[in-house]
Amino acid sequence: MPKTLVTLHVNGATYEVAVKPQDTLALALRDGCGLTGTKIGCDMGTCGCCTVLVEGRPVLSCLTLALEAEDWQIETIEGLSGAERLHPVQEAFATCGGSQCGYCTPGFVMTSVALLRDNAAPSRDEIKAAIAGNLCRCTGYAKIVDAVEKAGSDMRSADAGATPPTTGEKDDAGIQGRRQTAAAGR
Amino acid sequence: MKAFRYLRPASVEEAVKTSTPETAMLKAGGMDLLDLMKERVLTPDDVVQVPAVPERVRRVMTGPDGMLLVGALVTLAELAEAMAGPLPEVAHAASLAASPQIRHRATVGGNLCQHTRCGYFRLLSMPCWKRGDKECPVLQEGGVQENAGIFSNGSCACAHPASLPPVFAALDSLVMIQGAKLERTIPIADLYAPPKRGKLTDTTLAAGEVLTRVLIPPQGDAQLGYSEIRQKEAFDWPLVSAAARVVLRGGKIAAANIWLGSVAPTPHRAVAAEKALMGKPFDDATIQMAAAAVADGATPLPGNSYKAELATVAVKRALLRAAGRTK
Amino acid sequence: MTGRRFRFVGKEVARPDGPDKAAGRAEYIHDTVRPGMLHGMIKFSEHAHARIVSVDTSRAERVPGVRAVVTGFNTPKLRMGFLRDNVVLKRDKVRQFRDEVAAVAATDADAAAEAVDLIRVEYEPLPGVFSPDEAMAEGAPLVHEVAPDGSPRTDNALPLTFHHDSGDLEAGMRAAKYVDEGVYSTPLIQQSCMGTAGCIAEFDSAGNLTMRAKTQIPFLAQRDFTRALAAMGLPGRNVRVIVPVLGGGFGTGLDTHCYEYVAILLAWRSGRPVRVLYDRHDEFAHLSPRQSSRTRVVQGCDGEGRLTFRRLDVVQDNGAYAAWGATYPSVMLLPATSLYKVPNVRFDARLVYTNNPYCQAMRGYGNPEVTWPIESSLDHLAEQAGIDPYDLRRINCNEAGELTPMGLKITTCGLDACLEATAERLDWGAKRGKGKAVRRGVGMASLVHVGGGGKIYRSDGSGIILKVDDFGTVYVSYGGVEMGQGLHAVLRQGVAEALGVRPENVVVNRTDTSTCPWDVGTHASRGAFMALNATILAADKLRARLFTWAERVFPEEVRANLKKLRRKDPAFAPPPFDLESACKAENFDLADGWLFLTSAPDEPWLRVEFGRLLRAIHFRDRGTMFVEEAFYEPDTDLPDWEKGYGNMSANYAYGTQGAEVEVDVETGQVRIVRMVAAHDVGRVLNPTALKGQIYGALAQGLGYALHEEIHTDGGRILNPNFTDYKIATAPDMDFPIELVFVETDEPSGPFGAKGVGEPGLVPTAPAIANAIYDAIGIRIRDLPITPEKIVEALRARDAGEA
Repeated sequence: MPKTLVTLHVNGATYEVAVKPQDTLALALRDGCGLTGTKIGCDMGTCGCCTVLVEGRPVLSCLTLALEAEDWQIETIEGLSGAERLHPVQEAFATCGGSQCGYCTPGFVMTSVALLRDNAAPSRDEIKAAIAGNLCRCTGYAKIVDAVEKAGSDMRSADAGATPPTTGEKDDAGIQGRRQTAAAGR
Repeated sequence: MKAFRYLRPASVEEAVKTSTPETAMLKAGGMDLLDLMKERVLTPDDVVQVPAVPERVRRVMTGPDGMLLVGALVTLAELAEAMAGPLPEVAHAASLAASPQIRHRATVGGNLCQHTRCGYFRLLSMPCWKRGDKECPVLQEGGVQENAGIFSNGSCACAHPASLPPVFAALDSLVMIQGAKLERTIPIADLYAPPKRGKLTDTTLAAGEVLTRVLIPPQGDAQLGYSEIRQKEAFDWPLVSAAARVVLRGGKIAAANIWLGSVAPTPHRAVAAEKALMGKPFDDATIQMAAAAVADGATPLPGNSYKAELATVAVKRALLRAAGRTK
Repeated sequence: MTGRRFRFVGKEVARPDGPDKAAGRAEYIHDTVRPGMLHGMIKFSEHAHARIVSVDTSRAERVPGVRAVVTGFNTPKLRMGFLRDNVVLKRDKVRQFRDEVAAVAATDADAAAEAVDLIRVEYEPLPGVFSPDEAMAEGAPLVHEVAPDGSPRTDNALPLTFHHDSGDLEAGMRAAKYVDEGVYSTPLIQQSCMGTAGCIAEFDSAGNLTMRAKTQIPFLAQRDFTRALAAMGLPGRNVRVIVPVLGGGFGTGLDTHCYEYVAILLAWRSGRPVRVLYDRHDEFAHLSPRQSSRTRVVQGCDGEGRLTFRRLDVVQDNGAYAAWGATYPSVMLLPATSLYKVPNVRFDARLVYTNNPYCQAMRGYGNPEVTWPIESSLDHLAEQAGIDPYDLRRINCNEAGELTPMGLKITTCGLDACLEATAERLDWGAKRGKGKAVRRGVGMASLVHVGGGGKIYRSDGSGIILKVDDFGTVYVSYGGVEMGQGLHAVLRQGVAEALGVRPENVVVNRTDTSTCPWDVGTHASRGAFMALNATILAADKLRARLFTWAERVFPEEVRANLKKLRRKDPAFAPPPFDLESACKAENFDLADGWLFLTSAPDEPWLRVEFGRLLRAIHFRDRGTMFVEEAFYEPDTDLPDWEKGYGNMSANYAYGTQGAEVEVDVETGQVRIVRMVAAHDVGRVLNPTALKGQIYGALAQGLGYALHEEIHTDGGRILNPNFTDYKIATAPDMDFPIELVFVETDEPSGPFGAKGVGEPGLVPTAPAIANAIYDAIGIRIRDLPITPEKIVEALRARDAGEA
């Protein structure tokens, strides 16, 4: 089957990628866009490693055709952090021990970011329900739940401490606020 | 996956046309289809994306007669949200399925048309009667039977895995199907047909037919309960699922629908249990009696006789939920 | 706990790999692309046991993009495996479904897959054996007709003997007032690394090989690959093994694998780098799972509850070939002989070839397989003797100073404290035997495991190199492998502690055999124990040399400090201090990256920053730089396996886990109410990493207890996916886990620490099973304890009572 060009909108950038009809979004992101932060753990929709956000919702890029994703707004793990600073969820995974071998981590981070955008203060049960589609073999999940809880509380306090944003998403304001607080503290 | 053409028709009519050849398959969320294509169980030449138009196929609406109209492209996550008010047990069933990520993409239509979860069916290296081989290895000595059905398991022991069909069936729902010439509406039970050797699907849909909507009649004061039993707390297929709908008139049960999933090749109606409920008060003794009748006619295999007991328990718990005595 | 004070040990020091992993920047084998790299793919057997008649690759070779096709007939014969009983590409026959028959390298993965599909293999099917009983039956088909040395074989037993006989078993049996006997089994399970297996083989123009390998044993792998090159007619070439970021290990990296040799053959044949990457199906079907086992346990105690004997007979289904995992009994001997004081012990293990998938190591390495029967049986013994199971365990509790029947020297032992903590946290006295009405129960089980390395190879050593740059950053080259357990985090804090620098100034290099000193491998819970013992040796050397240099350089730098101070404040008058005579090597200390004199007053001008000091030593006439190495070999013995005797580890890690469960008797579902995990860790090095190790292991132990099992049918794996192979999700871990760390300050341990990587999953299953027994009086002896087994057992009991 010949390859066709597909336009993917990922993390605010536009990529033109040549794909076969059977290529999944996960493959196109990794091989076509060079965004290898999205991991393929099972390629069958059973582990959650390949989770990306489509229109803000967590979906499995291994069970999505690249051609199908044309014109969608896609967010991957690479889109969360800038050069100098991690997203609060990433920061919390790194410091709480939410990441051990780390292979499942990008998927967990994406699922958690989506959760915290919908629900800024989830309970531990809500966190567990939200990450039920992400498998981890290293941590036993305890530290992952800790990390999401901490990220939520960090983002809330950053929100509270920062000037209320006039525009933009709640989450961006969270990062911004955090940056300001951090800068002021130094 | 085997190479294929990916087609995106602009209308349901065009989808009907492009999916008519035997070598074409419809795709909505793709959760079940792509999985089976990766396993090479399904090898379509053309994959036809079900178009998201008209709007009614991707929305939950209320008809003028109070009928709830659920578009086939409504995702399980959207269904759970939309049903939280009107039919919380439907929401409950939808939110137990698979994982959050899958529920964001899996559709109602896809759930109703889901292929069997039988491990042998999904493992191309093993023979499978349903895939056209002579025998069903599940029924042979040494076959793993824990996921097999306990009813109608004569030549194929697979179990219909989807969680929504029993719920919709218990609600006396109808499905609308768009064909090349006409649109037909049938009771959801008629969507399913017993397995045939070499036939990969479990539905009565003809090539080119597109399931477009589920119609749920107004429920009045009917009481609904859904219960499923799984091995894992989350992200697991049900071992048994059960939906029960009961209508009380003057303190006595005037109507009862009991449907089970994962126990037979198609959604299974527990007729004897329904009978046991009729005309009785909706109390523990009645529930117990009805549940005891669930396994009537069951033909469990040596390796899954325990499923007959689970079916009893699942129905009991669905009835208890329907009665508002949640467990 | 002793009064030793530490700067960084025991404190929260963040994992150095955390941020990149959370950012998606960590580079796993799946992410690496080499110039010109080809995709390798393997054609696996279509039979469990069959003679190969012919292999036709002609159509595969014609697929566009294919650069190499290899079979056993066009490549040199490469032997591999623990007993060298496996040939990489099969020629004569296949012995399991996962046998490698041919392989292809192509410019893209789709072309490789298409070509593999076009390889035609003609087989003559042979009858197979699919259980140890079948394999050991009279006249059973032979999995291997000849041994690797060419001698004929007469049965399917592996040529490995593990036997132990201590004390007087008969006398022990006579002394027993109560005896319990039972047969217990454990299933075939999968390690389930989230990152699947893979490697990239790459030759340079001189025929030297670089392997990027998902391995836990880079140096043994280097040895294995070097032997393979020699067999390929490339003797004397270098092999460099680079370890990428590992997506989990859990024992899968303890052997070299056929796919790695296949990649080497394809790379050599094509002249291009070749990557072989397993997908999830491969990981299940074509990598090696954990052995299934069956154990008969008999043990007895006297009227006071003192154990008088224990006998274990283990049968292990090894599958078609022998990997390192075939030596599981070496570790089974630990609990057999040294879990509780038991004077008269007999242990025998029979390892059997079958046509099932061949098995390899997994976390715990034989220990859970026999702790399961021992600890389950112990509750029945207690019941017979009318002694509370907790009391029975305490009566027989191990203690420091013991020499166990296996010859293990128990230097420190926290078992009693672990038992006590578990009972207290479970509220044992109030709950044990009192929850039957509500189907609630409590149970406990203990473990002993190696905590100071585990000698099963000629050397159990580890080397380390500390290299310091001009800015005070310390680069650590260590041959062990970070696979998620937090090794690099504890190395960072251990180096900081031992050397006297800040953890953030310690960088742990990627593991690479060309830059790191030898290490036997990251297994046996030895990573942190070895790495930090080696660190301490190297750091002491570095400090000694640094302090000698400081005798000359420190006064110069202090004088420079003073000069600067006086420039700022001409009136500055330092307190009187005889710098010259104080500057003796033994008076210096380095802490937090500052050099100072321990005898000097605490003045800023009397401190020199580490980097500045290093530059001053480097950039001078006949200056120097600092690189120090050390090799740590623990004082242990390579046991005599036929006698089952020898002190294989420098110390032993004990622990106890407790479970409270509630059983749904209608469905057989077990709900865990709470768990307690009390472990003798010697010393807590890094609390977060340690908790992660225990929580994670416990989750695996829970899976072993309740969910996980590979189903096979005629040697074929039927559930090669996470749909039907059930590993715990977050909602499955929805119960409190109380962790108790007992610090015994182990003398052989770095800063007092013991190894703790594996213990967390060892006693989980018997603890849960004992709690189930307490709740409903049902004993399930075959793992996993599925709802089905519970319902069947309840039904059988009801039928018996009726």
